[in-house]
Amino acid sequence: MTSAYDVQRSRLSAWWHGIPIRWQVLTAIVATFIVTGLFAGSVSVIDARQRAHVETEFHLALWQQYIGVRFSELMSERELDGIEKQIRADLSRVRHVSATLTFRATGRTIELANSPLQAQPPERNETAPQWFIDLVQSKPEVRNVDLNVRGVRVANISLTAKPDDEIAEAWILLRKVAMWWIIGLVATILGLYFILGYILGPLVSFASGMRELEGGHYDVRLPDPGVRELTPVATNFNHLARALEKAKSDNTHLYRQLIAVQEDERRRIAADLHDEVGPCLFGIMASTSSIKRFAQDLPLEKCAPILDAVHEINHISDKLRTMNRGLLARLRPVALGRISLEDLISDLVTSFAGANPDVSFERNFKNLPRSFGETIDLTIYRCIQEGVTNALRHGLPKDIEIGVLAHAHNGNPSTIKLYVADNGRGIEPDTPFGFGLSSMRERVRLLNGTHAIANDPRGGTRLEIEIPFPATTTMAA
Amino acid sequence: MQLATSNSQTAMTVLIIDDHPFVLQGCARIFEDAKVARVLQAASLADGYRLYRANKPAVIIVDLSIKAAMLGGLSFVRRLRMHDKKTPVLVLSMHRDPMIVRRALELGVTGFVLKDAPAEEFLTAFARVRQGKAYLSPELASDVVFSEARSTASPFKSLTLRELQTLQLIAEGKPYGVIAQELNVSYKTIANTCSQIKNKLGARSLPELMRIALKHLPGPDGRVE
Repeated sequence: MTSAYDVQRSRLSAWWHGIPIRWQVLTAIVATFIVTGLFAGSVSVIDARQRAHVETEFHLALWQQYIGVRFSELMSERELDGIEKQIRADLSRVRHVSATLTFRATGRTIELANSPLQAQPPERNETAPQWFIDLVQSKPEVRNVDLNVRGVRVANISLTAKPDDEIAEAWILLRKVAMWWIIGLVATILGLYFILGYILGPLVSFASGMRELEGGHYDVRLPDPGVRELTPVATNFNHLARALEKAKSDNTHLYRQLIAVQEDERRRIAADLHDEVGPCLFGIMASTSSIKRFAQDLPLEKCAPILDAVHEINHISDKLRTMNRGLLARLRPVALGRISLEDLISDLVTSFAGANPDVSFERNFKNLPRSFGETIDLTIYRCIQEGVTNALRHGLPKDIEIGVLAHAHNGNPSTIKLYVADNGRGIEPDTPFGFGLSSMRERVRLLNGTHAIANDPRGGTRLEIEIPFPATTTMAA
Repeated sequence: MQLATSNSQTAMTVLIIDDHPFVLQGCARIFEDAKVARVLQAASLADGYRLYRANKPAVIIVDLSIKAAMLGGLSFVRRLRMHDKKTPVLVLSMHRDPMIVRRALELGVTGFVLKDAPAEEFLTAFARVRQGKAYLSPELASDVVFSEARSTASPFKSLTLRELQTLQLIAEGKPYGVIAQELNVSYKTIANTCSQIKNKLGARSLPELMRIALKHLPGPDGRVE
């Protein structure tokens, strides 16, 4: 087999699998109908052909014999001159045959009979199309009757079969059958179309239900299809969806708890680091400076090792301080709840701007209340932290724009929209989501928000998050 | 609650309000060992008020978060400043958020130093504040200036930190070469940065740029007006 054939075949198979099952079944049935119709048509043509042949054969044989006998009679009565008239009169009642008389001596030909159908009643006066005639009567049948006078052939009558009548009858019959066949076919198609729609309807709803499940919409349920074989499938599907929904809700619940516990733990650790480590460092610093002062009154050889030790303690304190600041920055914004959300985010952006002196940071805050509540505030804070960190890490941007906009509905904020847009290189298409980004996504999801990160067509990356407010929880009852 | 003693009658009095014993003891140690001052220690804002009224200290050192009160130190300063605009107040805090620092400065705090700053810095801050001069930890100053410049009313909100630093040095009248040295970048970078700033602020010449900078930037002593 050539590869072109294979390509054709695979294309056909792709087409076949691409169309809905309803059309597959209909196509198969229509194809069967057409094949059987063609077969039936061929059979009736063959039948008509045989019947026409038998009929013409019979008539030709009959008239051949009759002319022979009649000629002998006329010869014996010596009425040769009137033979033409006699035979014409005889042949006037002929069917399916035309006759031509040819005189051998002169070569003159006389049409004796040629229009047998004129004898038919007018309502039967119908001719089949030429292609049908050609199909039924492959070659005209001709018989010759020699007219001999004393052993000498003087004339010749040529009889040609003309089964037009027979063919017309076959044609009318075939047409009638074909008409009913087409009516039947159309009725079957229409009937099947609706019946298949009814039977396959549940399958279509199964397919769309599966797609919903795949998209994470576990609240989808299938109605009872009302088809005995499909009812258990729908029931099981609903069980599966319910189980998934439960698992998702459990997951959400767990994640929520995880984040709550984590944040609580972080808050406590951060508070301790913030409130206790500072004073301790201050105490150490005060003590060392006092030791230093006392040591300076001592003789040099006693003073030097003490000053060295003081220097060492100060060095360690410095390390502790740096470490403490790093820990605090990562753990939790200590100012959360003490200053307004806008100030909190401003401070975050300021610290980013301080660490990245060559990047321009633009802020766009609109309609922000003092706070949306700790959970939402913290989510917004973390999302911006993660978004900016990401933009700086991947994109090498020159400008970063940070926006937090509250859309008001009847004077109360209803949606919080936040974005981080940069004009860097954009993210590579296959960059896997890091822990920071997935944790951000989960936080947003817990607040029933949406989250999208995409390359801006004008260059750079744009992170967009929308959070409904007042927050609706995703906890299923 | 007066624990400290003084060897010298002429030494000034310093009031320290903090709820952490290490800080109180540390302050007492620093000032008294050096015979700089007599130290009054208050572990609560109420004690602080009482000691302030009874002793009229020369300098007040106050923490911002005291006990459960969130930023209670700020309300102390607000109350104090209603009738006493003169006594220098030095904030000694762990809060480093620019907004909090700004709010303290707006309330009329004289100096702001971080609790975990090195001893030298604390002593410098104290020395300046004592004379009634402003002091702000250098590491906080840039954040505060930057945060100020970022407020929507500021003409500098589209500048990067590098541009802002450069502008400040230009305002101080320093030539490009010195600025490049101070910011640890090349001369060419500074020249580029400068033309960028001119573009962003719509200034046509260096003198015009200097005029804008002097009008909107804080003075060289780090004080934010």
